[in-house]
Amino acid sequence: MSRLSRGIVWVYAQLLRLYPVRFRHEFADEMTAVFGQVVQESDDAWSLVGLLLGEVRDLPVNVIRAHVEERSENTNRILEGDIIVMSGNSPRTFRLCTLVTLAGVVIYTLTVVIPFFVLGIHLQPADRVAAGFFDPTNLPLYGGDFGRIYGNIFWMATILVLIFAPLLEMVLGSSLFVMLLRNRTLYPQKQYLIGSFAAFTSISLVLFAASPLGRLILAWWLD
Amino acid sequence: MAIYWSKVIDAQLNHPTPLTEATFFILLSLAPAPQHGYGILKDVASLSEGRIRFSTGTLYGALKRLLEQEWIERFDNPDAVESGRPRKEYRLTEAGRRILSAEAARLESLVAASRLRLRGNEG
Repeated sequence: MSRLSRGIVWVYAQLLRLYPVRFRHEFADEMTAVFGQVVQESDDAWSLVGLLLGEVRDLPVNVIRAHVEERSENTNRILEGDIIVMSGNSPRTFRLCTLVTLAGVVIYTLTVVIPFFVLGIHLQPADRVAAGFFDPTNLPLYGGDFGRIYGNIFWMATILVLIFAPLLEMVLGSSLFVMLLRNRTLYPQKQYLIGSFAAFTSISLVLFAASPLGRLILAWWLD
Repeated sequence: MAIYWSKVIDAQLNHPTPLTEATFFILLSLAPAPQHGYGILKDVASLSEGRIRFSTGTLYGALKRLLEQEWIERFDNPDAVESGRPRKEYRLTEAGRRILSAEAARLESLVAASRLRLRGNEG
């Protein structure tokens, strides 16, 4: 095999990396061998280049199709006894993961970023301790006293979000944790790590954002 | 999985829908004897009189789907060694052969109907 032929086969073998891992493990060696045979058969440099271009032309469609098929196989993989288990890119885990992370970001933004960084509000430590997670209606930022802001729908909605969002987030984060722990042998390691990180980070953020201690630490740091 | 594919095969045999030309030629190429990937590539080009020339990516994508549908199966041929390992070859399964026969029968009936109608027009 000429140097050019070897180079073209090498390029082809590298392109196969675009396929899903399982597909590659099953077929890459065979595909490279077959492509090598076809290359050997070609008689001149132009036909070699034409051959490679033909492969490159079909590559995007083949790769996308292989990934789509792989994804749907992962979702509906059937293990022994026709029992469907969630594995790979489970949509349920992905949705829960996204929800947990988004809820965490929203809560963190509402309770920490906007009050302290955007509005620049500084609270007295006593206010913060009294007002924190358990009774945000007393927080000066959100109106000072509940009666005064009673008629203001916007602030009412904010307060309700502040009360219920952390609770929702705790429930979501915990259920994601439990789901991951129960099925940890079924998830690919990468997805398991990402899911755990999302759950852990968002719960930590909620605790930090909602707890009086978090507010105190932040206020001291800002002062 | 096996139950799902047996339902697909039954549906295909009871109400044969056209196979794609590529699938048809791959199955046809494997009908007389098992073949390896390169053999299928060459055989399909020859059977289709050069109209169908698979890229290796397209060929192996199709082979993967046919393997999953259990219309073909893969095996190691110990008599043919490639890079120090037995070469992988493909052969039709019983289901694949039935599908191919059903498709051939469908095409035959189309051809027969066309001939009949064309002869009628000529007469």
